[in-house]
Amino acid sequence: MNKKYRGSFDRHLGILFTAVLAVFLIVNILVPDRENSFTENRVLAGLPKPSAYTLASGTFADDFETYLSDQFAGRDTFRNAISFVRWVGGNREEHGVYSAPGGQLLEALKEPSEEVLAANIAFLNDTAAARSGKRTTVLLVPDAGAVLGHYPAFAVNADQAALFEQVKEGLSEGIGWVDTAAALKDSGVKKLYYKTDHHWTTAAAQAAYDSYCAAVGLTPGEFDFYTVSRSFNGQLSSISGFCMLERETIEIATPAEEESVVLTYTDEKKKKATLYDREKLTSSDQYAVFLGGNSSIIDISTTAKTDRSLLLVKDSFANCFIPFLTGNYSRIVVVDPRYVTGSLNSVLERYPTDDLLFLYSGNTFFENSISGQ
Amino acid sequence: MNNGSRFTTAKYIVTAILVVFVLVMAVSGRESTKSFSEIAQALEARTNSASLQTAASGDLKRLYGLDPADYEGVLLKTAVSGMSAEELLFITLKDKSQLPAVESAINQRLAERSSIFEGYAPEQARLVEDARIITRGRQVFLVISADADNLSRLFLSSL
Amino acid sequence: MVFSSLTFLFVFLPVVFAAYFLLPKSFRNYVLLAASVFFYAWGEPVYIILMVLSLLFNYFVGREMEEKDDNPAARKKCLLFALAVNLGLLAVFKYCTFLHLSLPIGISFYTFQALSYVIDLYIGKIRAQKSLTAFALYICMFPQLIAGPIVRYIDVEKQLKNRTVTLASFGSGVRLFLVGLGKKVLLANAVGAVFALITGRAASIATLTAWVGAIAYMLQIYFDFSGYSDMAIGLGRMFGFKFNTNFELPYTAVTITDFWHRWHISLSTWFREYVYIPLGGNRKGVPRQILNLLIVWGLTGIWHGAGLNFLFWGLYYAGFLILEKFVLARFLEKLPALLRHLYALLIVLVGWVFFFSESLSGAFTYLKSMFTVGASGFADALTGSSVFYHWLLWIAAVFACTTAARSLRKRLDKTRRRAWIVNILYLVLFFLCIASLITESYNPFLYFRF
Repeated sequence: MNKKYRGSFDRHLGILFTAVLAVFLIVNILVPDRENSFTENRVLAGLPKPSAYTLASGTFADDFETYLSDQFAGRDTFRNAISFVRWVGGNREEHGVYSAPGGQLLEALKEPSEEVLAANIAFLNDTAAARSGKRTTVLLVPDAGAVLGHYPAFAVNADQAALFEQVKEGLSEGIGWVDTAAALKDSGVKKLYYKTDHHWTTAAAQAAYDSYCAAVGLTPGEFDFYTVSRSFNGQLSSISGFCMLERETIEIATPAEEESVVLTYTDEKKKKATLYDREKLTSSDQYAVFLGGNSSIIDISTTAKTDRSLLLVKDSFANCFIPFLTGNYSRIVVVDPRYVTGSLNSVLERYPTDDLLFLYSGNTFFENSISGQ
Repeated sequence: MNNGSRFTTAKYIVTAILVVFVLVMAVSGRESTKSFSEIAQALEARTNSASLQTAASGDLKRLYGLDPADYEGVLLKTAVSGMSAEELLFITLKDKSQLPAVESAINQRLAERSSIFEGYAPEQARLVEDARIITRGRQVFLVISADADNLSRLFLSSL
Repeated sequence: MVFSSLTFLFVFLPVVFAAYFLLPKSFRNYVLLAASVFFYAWGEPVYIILMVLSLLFNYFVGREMEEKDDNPAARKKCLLFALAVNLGLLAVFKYCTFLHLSLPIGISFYTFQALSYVIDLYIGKIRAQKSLTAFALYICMFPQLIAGPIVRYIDVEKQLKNRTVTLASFGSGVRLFLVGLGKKVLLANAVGAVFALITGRAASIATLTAWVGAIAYMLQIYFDFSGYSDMAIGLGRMFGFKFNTNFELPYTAVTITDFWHRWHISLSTWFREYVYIPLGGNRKGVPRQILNLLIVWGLTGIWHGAGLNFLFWGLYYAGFLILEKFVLARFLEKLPALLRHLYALLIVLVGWVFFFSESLSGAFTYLKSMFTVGASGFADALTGSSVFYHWLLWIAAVFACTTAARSLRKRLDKTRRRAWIVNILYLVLFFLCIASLITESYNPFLYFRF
């Protein structure tokens, strides 16, 4: 073994290593800290402030490491590299998101605990009962995996179809039920769900809307579809790191007949004249173009030629569904219980509308108690 | 011989300091003697009533699944606005065996709050991520707030 | 602070290297000592005081014992007092769980290092260290302070005052460090995640899943520990120190005796030198030898943790070592190598189950799910996902335990023509480690500070 040669081989590595350390140290100091990560859609950690408490408890050391990691130069590239290596090495699941063939990301289907399931069904029944005489409908949207179905091998999922049946059986007499899964499958829509996001597409929402109208005896309106974004990369991608380079389109549906709307965001005390928030199309949460994202209570008045009103208790899936309803109701009150403080029941009692609609995606409905009880 | 006794003396001095150190560590790990209301009062004085309000009586059960009657004292403050993740919880347990149940309720609450704000309201999600949880004997403290550091320090100093 | 962190790699190391190599040579020990104190205080801001007091204590003990050269009774008294204080501190923080004291990081390591100094000084194998800086450096030098190897004073005595670093020896230290970093970050952490997933199940697990879990832990603890040792020895080399190797491909062992010549060598060496041999070793007849072995291995067990399952683990190995020495030796030699290898691996695997279980009953429950078919059946979806979602990882991990891996590395390190490419490969390894460290920190399911 040529010792002299071995020496130069080691010397080179010694220099390379020190150079890498020095370069990153300098680059990390020089490059200013970012406040947000666009690709991850989250706020990045800032430089922690040392205090007697944080230093003595070791919290400062942990926060500092998190800070370095969040602000490291080339963070996004490094994360993509690891995601790629893991994917090549067989990984098809990250943080509850499965990478299915064809670049389709699917959330795992959650199994509800018995208490949550019972509590939610009871909540639906009780709220309907409190408004006796008014029409109540329940529209549960199956998650992508339940409809598209092609999970990678070894995925563990609840049987959402069976769970939906269970909910349907548990509802009181007189509560309407929309078979969303059937509506979606029979609709002929090619793309029912986004590839990189857990939400359904606007076209899928229209299929469910048509089904809802049939169930309650309303006339579905006519709509034109417009593409508002071709650069959408959704939340499942941000969470899992899969398919970060995928770009999808978002469409909005505008009524064939002109209409105007006024949205009142009750808690934030804001008023808007449009259902869409265009600013969100340049943010990392493009789906929030619908209604500006989630909010506790939104009171919508339309110029529809009817005095029917609707109370809609929902999660984010309803956001792209609501624009279809503006021709059928002159007032729509939209409530997202997750953001309502205080008693949900007292909030609901404030709005004695003609119709009541519960619109939830399966996972949200099965994961937590809606009413917070 | 003189040199030897110099080192011997030094050795015994260091040993004495070690004993003192161990005693101090053992004692500081023990429980605080303050009552629930004393600590709660100190916390109340410092929280901003514009953004945090005292929760209604059923809220501990509703949000955490815990029964306030099980504990010596409960202080729960939730955000005034539904879009804010701010929260403060302080519980004095009746018995340390209650700790695992409370810890798991807190973990679950944080996971729920995180999933609600994640992606939709990144700043609030960050607050939940940076939440501080401190346990000292029978005192359990949780704060989600931009002011978490100061409130944590306040809690520790009022023990 | 830990080696596998961005703070250590990109803040601490560059600064320490700059100070160590750019300042005059006479400053080197001071730089290293200051860096080590900072390194420890970063992770243990309160217990740094304990470590400093412990090293001061042992320094004075050493000086005193040397002064009392001519007085054997006084020396003995000094030794006993030193043993009492050192072991007493270890006992209080590690085994007196009723005091609710948190465990100071590294206390088992620096206490055993201090004891090696005191005992070897008493026996007369070494002279006392007069320089407080040099002694402090021996006790708290950051490469081996937190996770070993346990360096005996006698092995580094001369190196404390007299060592050289060349760019080539520095580079060879880097090489070993990067291998260790890769083992820890890319292998140990990854199989550890699989282990956590499997054992995190509240429900019962399928038989095969239990095996996958146990094997995951077996790999995790090896790569974690040997990775750390590699990093420690590599770092030591970068500063001119030569430490002894701590792991010698333990999973290639063919008997349990062989396994313990390859696993955590510095610990078994320590127990042999300072407990087994003083107790008489094998020089006082067979029954006494068996007793000595039981004592040594019982202690080895509880050195790892204060729990009955650790004691059991130590005695479990004692049993097999004794059996092999007196009964099985001739029988084992006749078996084909493959069977011997499987025998050793199986014994070791079962041993790890006792090691990772929180209690003895937990261990037996886990073993039951491994050796019987329970409610969850023989295999389930989790078996499939834990194996196939990580197939490349399993192959890499198992390969890295073998002699084939080592000879591949040796061949790569010796190549002449392709030397540049090999160095680039090491850099790629380094970048993958950095990427992994960055990705690990953000966990959307929250990190609690209890």
